Amino acid sequence: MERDDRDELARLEDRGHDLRREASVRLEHALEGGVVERGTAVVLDDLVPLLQLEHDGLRLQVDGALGLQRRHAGSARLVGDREDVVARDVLPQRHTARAGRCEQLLQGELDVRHDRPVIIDAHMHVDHLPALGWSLEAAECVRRLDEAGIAKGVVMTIVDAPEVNPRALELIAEACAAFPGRLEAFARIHPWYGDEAVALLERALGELGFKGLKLHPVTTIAHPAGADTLRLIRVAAAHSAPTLFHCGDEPLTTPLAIARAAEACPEATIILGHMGGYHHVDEAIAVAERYGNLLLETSAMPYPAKIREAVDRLGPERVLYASDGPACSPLLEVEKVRLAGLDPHAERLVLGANAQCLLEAVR
Amino acid sequence: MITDSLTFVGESLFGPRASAAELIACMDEVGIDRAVVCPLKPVGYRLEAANDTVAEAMQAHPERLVGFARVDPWLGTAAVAELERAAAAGLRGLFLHPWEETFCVSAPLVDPVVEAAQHLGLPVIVASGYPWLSEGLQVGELARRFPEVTFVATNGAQINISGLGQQDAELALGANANLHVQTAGVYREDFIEGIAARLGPERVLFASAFPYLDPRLEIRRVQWAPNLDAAAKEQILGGNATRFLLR
Repeated sequence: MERDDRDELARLEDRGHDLRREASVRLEHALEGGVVERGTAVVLDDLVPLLQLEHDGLRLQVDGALGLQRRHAGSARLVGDREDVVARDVLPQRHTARAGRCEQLLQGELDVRHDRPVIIDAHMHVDHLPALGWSLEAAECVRRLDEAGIAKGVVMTIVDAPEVNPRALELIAEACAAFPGRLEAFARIHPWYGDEAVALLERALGELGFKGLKLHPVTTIAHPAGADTLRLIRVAAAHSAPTLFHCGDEPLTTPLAIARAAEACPEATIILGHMGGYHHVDEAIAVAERYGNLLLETSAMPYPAKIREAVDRLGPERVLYASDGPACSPLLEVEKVRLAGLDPHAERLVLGANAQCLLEAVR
Repeated sequence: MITDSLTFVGESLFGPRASAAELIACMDEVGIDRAVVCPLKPVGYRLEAANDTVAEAMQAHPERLVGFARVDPWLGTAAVAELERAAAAGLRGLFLHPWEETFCVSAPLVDPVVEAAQHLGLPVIVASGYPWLSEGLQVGELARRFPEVTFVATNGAQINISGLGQQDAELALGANANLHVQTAGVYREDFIEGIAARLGPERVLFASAFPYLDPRLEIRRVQWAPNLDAAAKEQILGGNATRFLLR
């Protein structure tokens, strides 16, 4: 790390706060913490070992280091320098990956006193909506991820394919391609479009490499347990891809409505985005107790104590951090999880490890 | 001076409870100098007792707490009499909760207590954003009828995690210069920033809604807002409250 970079981090700390300080400590530690063995570094550019290494967070650390250097050095060739960056910058990891649950992956492998959690934001938006005056840029998502020390964000549009935006999938695919390693994609698709909707989802999860389906019944007025919707959820499940629902206080989006879908599709992983919004949070926790294929996602819901309650009642593997950024603040939303006062192991799962497992499972 | 424009003490019929000592401890932890404190609806339904609880809290912490009185407009002349009694006891504003007292805030039913507040020179905080009863344009309609009264809408005048209430809330604010919004729990931070940018930071007041919400998070909603400058944050965090809510 160059002297100027250290000064920049110090300046960030001076005008910052706990999260910025923690983010920079994490990076400093990674830079000074040692050298991975050369053998590991050499194989990092090989796709298969790279995917395996995701299990213990190594690739995210590599990408984080690359992102740091990219920001400071402005170099476009850093992807090609992955080996070099790894050799210099990444913490030694304890084991290569093995299959299994997130819980098993973490036990005994991470020193929570020193390793910062890898944070993944499971719900962000990229879109351009002149009618609402909203312009949600991928670059702004990444800037806000950086601000909060977040490794990666999952982005999706605000409107659906094929209507009102026939190019909604391409818009997201292009956003992810512009920030390799930083953004993953969920597909917003209108369930009413039958075979066309299924084909769009197959293309998204196959050719385009998307990692999940996002449904917002307020915009589609398609019931979560309607036949068209269940068909899409099952297509996603066939790829081991989760379905993220907007889950708030509006009709068609309440936890009990979405629970009907969870009951009808026990093979699907369904995420309750916003975990019930303002006045359906208790209901969200209750239905998640009833259906083991439901996960809760924390974005914008304003009660830190309810995150703690959800973790206590459901277990830390059933709750995912997300921000609904960039219009909602990832910095603030991460702080909300920290204010929940989870133990370090649970916090690590909620902030990133759970989302990492979901993303890795998609095929 | 950082002023929290909405907190509660008492024991609510609906669960939340907080003592004045707990409120002060929380303010100390977060760095809040002064707070508006409102009554929770008590188990016995009698708001008079809850107003007394607030008055006692205010008397115990005169430098830290400013009490508002809560009345039920359905009680008609008795509600007006209670507001006058509470004002005489030192309470310095009116708090209306259309959701918990179940009335539509734009209905004529509300007029007598707001007329009394105007006569007493008291500002009015309205629990806002509740469906059918206190949505943005409904609060705006009340503000339109009483242009001389200062109104403050809780929750950004919209409670909706899709942002569906934002446009009506901004229309209400744009049409009524005497209407303001609080920041507690608001979806989203850019809504607060947008109101400050388009209508002025003097239209926005920091609030935590303690004990319903967590002041440690709510204060950062303002302090960490990326698109508010230092002067706007100062106004929102306390300057506005000093200037027109607690004058």
